[in-house]
Parts: sequence; structure tokens; C-alpha cells
Amino acid sequence: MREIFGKIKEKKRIIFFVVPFFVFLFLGVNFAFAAEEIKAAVGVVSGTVGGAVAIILSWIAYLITALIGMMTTAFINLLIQVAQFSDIINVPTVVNGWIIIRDLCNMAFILILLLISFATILRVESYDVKKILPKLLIMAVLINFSRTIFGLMIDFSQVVMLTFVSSFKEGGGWFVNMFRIDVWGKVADVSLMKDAENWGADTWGVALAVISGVVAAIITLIVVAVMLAILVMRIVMLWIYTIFSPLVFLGFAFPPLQKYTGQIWEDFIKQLVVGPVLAFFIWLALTTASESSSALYGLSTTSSTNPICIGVGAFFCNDNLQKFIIVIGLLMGGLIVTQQMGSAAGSIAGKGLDWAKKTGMAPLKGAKEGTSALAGYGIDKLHQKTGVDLNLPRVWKGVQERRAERRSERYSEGMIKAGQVMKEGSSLHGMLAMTGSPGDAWDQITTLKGIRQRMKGGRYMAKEREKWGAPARELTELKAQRDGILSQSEFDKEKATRETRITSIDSELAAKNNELTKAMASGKSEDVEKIRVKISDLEAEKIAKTEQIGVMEKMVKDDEARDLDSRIATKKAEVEKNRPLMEKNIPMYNFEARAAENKAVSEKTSKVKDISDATELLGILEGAIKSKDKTMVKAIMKKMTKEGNDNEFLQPLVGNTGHHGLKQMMRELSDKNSKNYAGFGEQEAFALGSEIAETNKSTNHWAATSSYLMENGQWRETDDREHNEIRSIESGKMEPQAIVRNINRLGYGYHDKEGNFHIDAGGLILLRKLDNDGGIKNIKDRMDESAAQHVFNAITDESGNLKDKFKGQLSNELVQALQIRLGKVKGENFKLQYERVKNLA
Amino acid sequence: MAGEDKIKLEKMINGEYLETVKNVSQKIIFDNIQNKAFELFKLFKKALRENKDELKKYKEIYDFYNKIIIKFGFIGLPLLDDEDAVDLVGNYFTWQFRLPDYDFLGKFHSKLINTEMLEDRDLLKNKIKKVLLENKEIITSQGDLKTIAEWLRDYNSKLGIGPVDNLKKTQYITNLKSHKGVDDFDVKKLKILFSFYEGLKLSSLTPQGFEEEIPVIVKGKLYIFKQGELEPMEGKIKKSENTKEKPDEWQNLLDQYPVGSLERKAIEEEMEKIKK
Repeated sequence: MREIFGKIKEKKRIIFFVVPFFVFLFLGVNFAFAAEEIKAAVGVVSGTVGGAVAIILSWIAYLITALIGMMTTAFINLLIQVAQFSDIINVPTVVNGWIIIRDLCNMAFILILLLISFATILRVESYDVKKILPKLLIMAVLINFSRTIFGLMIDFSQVVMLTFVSSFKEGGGWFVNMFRIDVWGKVADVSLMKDAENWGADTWGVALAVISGVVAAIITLIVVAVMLAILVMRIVMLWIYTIFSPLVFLGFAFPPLQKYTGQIWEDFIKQLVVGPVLAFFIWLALTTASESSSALYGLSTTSSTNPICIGVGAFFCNDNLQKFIIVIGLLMGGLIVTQQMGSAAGSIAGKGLDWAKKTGMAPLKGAKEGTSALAGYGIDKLHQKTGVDLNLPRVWKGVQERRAERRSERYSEGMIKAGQVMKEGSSLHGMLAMTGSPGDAWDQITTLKGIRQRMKGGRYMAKEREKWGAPARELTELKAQRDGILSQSEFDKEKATRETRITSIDSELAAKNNELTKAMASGKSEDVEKIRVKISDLEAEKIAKTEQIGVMEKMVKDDEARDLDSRIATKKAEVEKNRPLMEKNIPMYNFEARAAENKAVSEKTSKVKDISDATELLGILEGAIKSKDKTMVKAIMKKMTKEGNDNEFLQPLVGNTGHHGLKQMMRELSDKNSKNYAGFGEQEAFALGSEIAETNKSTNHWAATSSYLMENGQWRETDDREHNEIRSIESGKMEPQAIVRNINRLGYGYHDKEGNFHIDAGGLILLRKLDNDGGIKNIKDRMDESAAQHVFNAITDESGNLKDKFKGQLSNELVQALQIRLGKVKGENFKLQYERVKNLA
Repeated sequence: MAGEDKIKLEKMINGEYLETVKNVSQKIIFDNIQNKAFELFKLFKKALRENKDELKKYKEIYDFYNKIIIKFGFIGLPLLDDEDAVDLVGNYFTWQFRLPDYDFLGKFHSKLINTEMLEDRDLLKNKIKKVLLENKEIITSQGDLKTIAEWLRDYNSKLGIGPVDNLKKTQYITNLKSHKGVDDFDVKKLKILFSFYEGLKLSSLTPQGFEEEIPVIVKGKLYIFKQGELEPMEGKIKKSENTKEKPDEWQNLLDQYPVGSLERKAIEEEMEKIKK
């Protein structure tokens, strides 16, 4: 076969005949005009000697065509025979070979059991008896049925294949007709031709017709031979894989072998798919080429009454050539699909395909793109779209390390989808979706909860959760209503607190006024100014407190408050009662899905590893959002967060670098109506948000932490109260010195869309913790400079005084400490020095 | 690498440049500036690789850069490649004690959090465990046991190689002082070593070894899922010794926000916890 390819490669001149014909055909060239040109060229060599040469060439070409035609016919007959062969597992080679391998595997079990026992004694975790033994026992049984199992799978493939083969098994003539073998060397009926007087069947005309027949014959022979080779290889490989089938099952049970036996399993599956796909394309070519070529013929001619020909060959008249091209094209498409399978047979197909490409079969490129989806991609895609995994090796082997990047991405999407299906899908879906998580599959099968969930299905569970969770939702609503009103007693308490403060303010004011009079009398202008500021602050506070009393008075709805309190108490009891029922319907947490997702993201992250410029990364992120490349979105966001640059994407994309911004960003990733929609599901986006929030703890971006929590097996956003609570506890673990030294501005607040910095409630709590002697000393000496600068700007006005809303909350000493710190920082000029150090080249 | 990007030796040994490096490194280390430490770690590593032979002629400068790389490595540990992290922690473990207020366990935790794949985290832990068991750095200069390897051997022989119960670990640490020549600072160092070593034993694929801390609602109450356990959130706010309790000021702060507002609720929670 290699020699044939080599020879064809050498005779590149053939291309000069083939290419123009195809170009004429597809571009719809005015044949009459072309005919004139060709005739003129041929006329030069149409003398007596030229005629003799033409006759000799014609005879040689005729003989070659006849020879190739005979070979093609023989190959076609063989192809039909091979395609029908289905008794694969019962041939003596397979039976005898399989028995030996099976017996060897059975013996290997003894050795493996010994190995497990030693490993258990030595506490080698990966060979732990609890982990391996159950699988080993099941596989010990399955090994003895491995030939039958493989046989069943082969039969399934054969049933599909024979469906197509049966339609052409009786028709060798069908091939002859479709490949137009009968007209390869035939001269057209010139009397019927348009412009016939100029196209007499002269010797050169006949020679050209016969030579083009040779080209067609060679193309046909290669295509048929390659297909035959693939089918023969397939049968041989299926024999071999069936012989080694016990090893495959041994590999499932014993991880170190899995790496090798997994390959056998994958290749076996590929061979199963190759046959039906090829048979399908042969069937497709034979049954549809005629109609398809008629359509093409109609497009490429101007008249349907007279045949239009190029030269005198009948091969170029009517729709012969078109039919030939369509058939060859479809069969080439089939070969491309098998090449995608990556099998040994596929590589033979690849060689045939390479030659075809070199001879100008460019139109087949489109076919390649269209058909490649049927290969490994198809199964992955199915998994991606539905969460149902038909790739059996994957189901059993777990996350394979050797998966190519794109496949891995689709796989991870499939995993997540499997989780969603379990959550939302039907009973059947729920059961099938389990195959989407290989490692979990074992738990799902062997644990009571798993079995129950499989029986119930995701949608049913979701409905159950909806039903039993209703009181909890109602409780939240009632609490929200209750928060908006006050009972009389609550109001009295709040009012009393404020009135006490107002009284205290009055006495403070009286004292301050006295101080003021004295200071004025003594002429100490500094003191006078200070006292006046204090008096002004006190008066402002008094007004605020009086106004608050007025506002609260309007909120008093005593009866309604009582009614709500009683309803809340009842609802709470109901929630408690329903809790066990809720928990029964929480899906098992899919760690495998998370692991698969992380793997895909990890691979993607390595691609952008060396990019540290935040602007560049933001550009990539925006592109990824636009193209809905979820894995890249995750990779970039996580990378930027790790490097402490989460604000660099939150600010431009959602205009808030705090937890509100993070939550909004994640909502938009999963909101179809948002400009930042990137094809995420809600839970998927929330999971990403939770990881970002977690990472922000290590970079001390506390304002964007504690944004998600898990409830009933689902991620949900924290409300402000929960955020502050979790954040305070987490950041509260830090020593005050560490707070001052390590927390930068994003630990105290957030930037808005315009880039302005604001202190948030959590930041205010943190600042108040520092507003004491020790904290203030630390601020002066060690506070992070960016934090000091931003906090100072956020809490003071243009004159450097505390803004009104911070009066009474933060002290002037803290402001002064910040000023002192900033004075120190200015002297250090760290940024410039750092840039100088970096510029080492 | 393009020729113009090649790091210039003359600049590396320039006195003024070295002075600037000292200033910058002091600030980075003192202020724990992770990103910048990581950037300079990479830069100086590359510089040393490219100019190793020539720079060795200036022994002091060569040592200076080597030391600074190690220190930057510790500060930028969460961003380091696994290979560098193994080298650093495995071979220069004791250098962390030269850094002011350095939280090694926190840094390594962040490094693990930054490692996407749980399997990769386990690989990293196993590699570090291996090099640590062979680490010949002196961690306690007086007494019979000196190197990290010797201490870990002793620890393993007395407590076993599997995960050690907290109580047993505490007992072992309490008895450390009975070793001749072990002072308080040594105990502090060994405490970090053993805590770190214990952490390395736990697989990230198990609930106990899983590094992420997940807030979770169970039976209506908020917990943090941490090291395989659910930590209740209530009553957890740590009272700072330096925090002055000023109830009237907290009340003032509270009064700034209307009843029912989220800020008000957060402050009320804070006040409740301080009262406890």
C-alpha cells in the first residue's frame, strides 16, 4: 500500500488533469468556451505522429484501467463479504487465546490478594483492602464472562453495522454504477453533443477520455482498498481485544494495571464504533449520491435537454462525473471519521486521506468538519449536554489524566451537568446521571442513600425539597416583615436609650458651654476652637437622635408585631418538624465533579501561568466571557484572585470590589440577560464565587470573603448579616498587629465603579477594633500604606477632619495616627525603589 | 530569552543597587507583601541562574542574593511553584524563624488553597514530607537532638507514623522541655514543625485534610466546616486584649443606622459577642 502511495506521489502530473476538471465542474465554467480553448491546444499535436502517440497512450491507459477495474471489482466483493462477517468471538484463535489469558488472570488474583494483604499490613493506602477488595471480587467473577461481555458489545455494534450492510450486500453492481466504472473508458455519443462538429472523436480526444478513466480508477481503487483494510483490521483487532478481555477486567480491579488495560478498553470501543460508521457512509454514498449529483448537475449546466461534455469521454457527460465525486466524497467523509477514532485502522485511512488531499480534494474539508463530531467528541458532547456518560471506560476508570484539553473541558462540564441533572432531572435522568461521576458511582451503588437517590431521581428530590422547604422560606419572609416594624415595648426601649443619651448630651453641652466661656475669657483660641467643634458635634448628635425617635415612632405597629411574632413562632416549629424530610432529599455532594472541574481549570491556568499583567488578564477574561469559555473564565478569575487582583476584574465588570460585587459578578455569569453571561449554571457560578471568597481570605481581601454558604447541599449567597458575622469571626482570629500590617485597603472596604473607595460595615468594625492605644500605635508604625491612604481618604473630608457619618464611631486619634503613618510612608518612596530593583536587565 | 532581557551582572553587584535591594526587601518582608516578594523571588532566581559562575566570584554578594531569595520565597510561598515550595520548605525550613511575625502555617495553608487539584495537594504534601524527614537543618542547637530529621525520627518513634491524636501530640510537646538544652524558643519552633508535619499526613481528599473552610447551615444554625468538623459560629468572636470596650460608643455606632438595617444587625451581633 505504501508503494502505491509512493508512486502516486511521484506522478504529481496527474493532478494537472484532475484539478482542472474539478474546477470546471464546481465553478460552473462556460463549457462551450472552454471547449474552444482545449480544441485549439489539442490541434497542435493532432498530426500523424501525434495521432500514433495518442493511440499508444490510449492502449496503455486502457490496459491500466482494465486492470484496476478488475482489482476494484474484486475488492468490492471482498468488502461486502468482510462487512457481513459477524461471528467474531467464536473463531478458534479467539477461543483458544482467551482461555489462556483468562486462566492467567485467575492465577493473578492470588498474587493480588497476597499483595493486598502485605499492603494492608504496611498501611499502604492505595492498596487498602477496603478500597480494592470489593472491586476485586466482582471483577474475579466478571473475568470469566469477559468473552461473553465483549461478545455482547461486538454484537451490538454488528447489529447497527449490518443494518446498513444489508442494504448493499447483494449489490456489487450498485458499486459499479455509483463509481461509474462502466463509463471510465467509454466514448460519448458525439452526435447528441452540443457543438458536435467541433468535437469529433479524434485520436487525442479518445486518449484523453481513457487517461481520465485511469485517474478515476486509481481514486476508486484507493478508497475501496482503504475501506477494506479498515474493516479487515477491525475484525483482527476485535479478535485480539476479545482475547485480552480478561486483562481489562483485571485492570478495573487493580489500579496499577489500569493504565495499560484501559488503553485496550478504549481501543476496543473505538473499533466497535469504526464499523457502523463506515458502513453508514458506504450506505449513504450508494443510496443518496444519485439524487445529490442530480442537484449538483442542475446547478452546473445551463440546459437540461442536451448533454454537456468536456472532451469525448462519457465519464464527463451527463451527471457521471458529479455522481462519482459525490460517492468518493462521502466515502472520504467516512474515512475522516475513522481517522478521528485514532485507531490503527484510522491511521491507514489517514494515509489514503492525505493522498486525496494532495490531489485537490479540498471540498472534502467541509465534510471533515461536519463528520468529526461523530467521533470521540460525540460521546463527550453528549455527556456535556446531558450529563449522561456513555463512555464506559470513563465511568469505571474515573478522571483520566491523559485526556486532551478540550475533551477534559467538555468532560468537566459533563460532570457539572450530571450534578445539575441529579438536582433537577427526571427519575431516569437521575439514574443515568450517576454514570457521570465515576468515583461516586461506587458509593451511589453501595450506600443506602445513594440507592434511594437513584430510585427517586433528581427532579423528584428537588420537588420534595421545594415542598418541605416551604415553611423555611415563609419564615424568612415573616422575619423580613417583622424587621420593618416595632412593637410598642421595642419602641419604648429604643426611645428611652436615645432620650437618656439626649439628656446626657444636654449636660455635656452645658458643661462645654461653660468651658467655652472660660476659654474665651482666658483668650486660648486653640481651646476655643476645639470646644466649639465638640459642641457642634454634640448638637448634631442630638438632632440625629431626636429625628430617629420620630422615624421609629412611625414604625410602631403593636398589633401587627404581636401577630407576626406568634406566626414566626409557629413557623419555626414547622421548620424544625420538616427538617429531617428536607435532609433526606439533599443530593450527595459530588466531589468527583468538583475534582474534574478543578483539573480542567488547573490545565487552563497553566496556559496563562506566565501572564501576570492584570490588564492583559482582564482582556483574556473578557474574551472568555464573550466566547462562553467557562473553564478559561474560572482559570483567569482564580488566578487573579490568588495574586490579590480580584478587584482588577470586579471593578471594571460590575463596579464593586466587595462581596456585593463578587455576588453580582457570579449572578451575571449565569444570567442570560446580562452582558457578562458566560454560560454558567447558577450553582456552578456560586461554587466559583465560594472559591474566590475563600482565596480572598489568604490575600486579606476581607471585603470580598464570606459571600457564599452551603445550605441543603446547595450554595447560596450570604446576606449582609451572615457576611459580617463570618467575616468578623475569621478576621477576628488575627492578632491586631497582623491586622494592621497585613490587611490592605480591600480588607476595610470596596471600590465603586468610579474607583472611589468606601469603608463597609465589616471594615468599620475592624477599624473600631484598632481604635485604642495599642491599635493606634500599630497604625502609626506599621499599617499597610495602601490601606492607610484609602482609609484616611474615606473617613475624612477635604480638610482632613472626620466625616460626619464617622463622628462618634472613630476617634480623632485614629485619624491622626493615619496621618502620621502616611507622613512616614511618603518619605520611604517604596514604589520607585521597587521599580528600580525590578529593572535588572 | 532575547539578548536584551539578559540580566546584567554589573548591575547586580553595583553598591547602590544592592542598597536599594536591601531597603525594598526589608519593607517587603516587614510588611509581608506577597506579590512583590514572589516577583522578586522569580527575578533573582533567574538572575542567579544566568550569572552563577561570575557571581560566585563575589561570595558575599552571591550569598546575599541567595539569602534574599529564600526570604522572598517564604513571603511569596502561596504563589510559588510546587517544585520551589518543596525546595524551600524541605531544605530551608528553619529560615522562617528569621522573619518577623511570620505565619508559616497560614502561608502553607494558602499555598494549598491555591492548588486547584486535591490530588496535586497530596502530591505536594508527600514530597515535602519526604524531604523534611531527610532535612539536616539544625532546629535546636543544644542537646542530643539537633536536626529536623532527628526530631522527626524521635517524634515518629514515640507517636507512630500515622496521624497523631492531639492529646498525645500536646503531651509530647509538653515534655519537650525535659530534653536537655531545649528552651522556649526551641519549643515554639518545634511546635510549628510538628503541627506542620501532622498536617502533611492528612490527605486533602479526606474531610480532615480538606483545606477549604466552608460556611454551612445545619439545622438552621451557621457552622464552619473545617478539618472534618463543624465549628459552631456562635460565640466565636475573639476578644482582642487591646480592644477597649466602650458600650456607649458601640451604642452610638448602632444609633447611626435605622432599625432593621443590615449594618445595624451586624453591629448588634458584634455588641452581643463583646458582652459575652
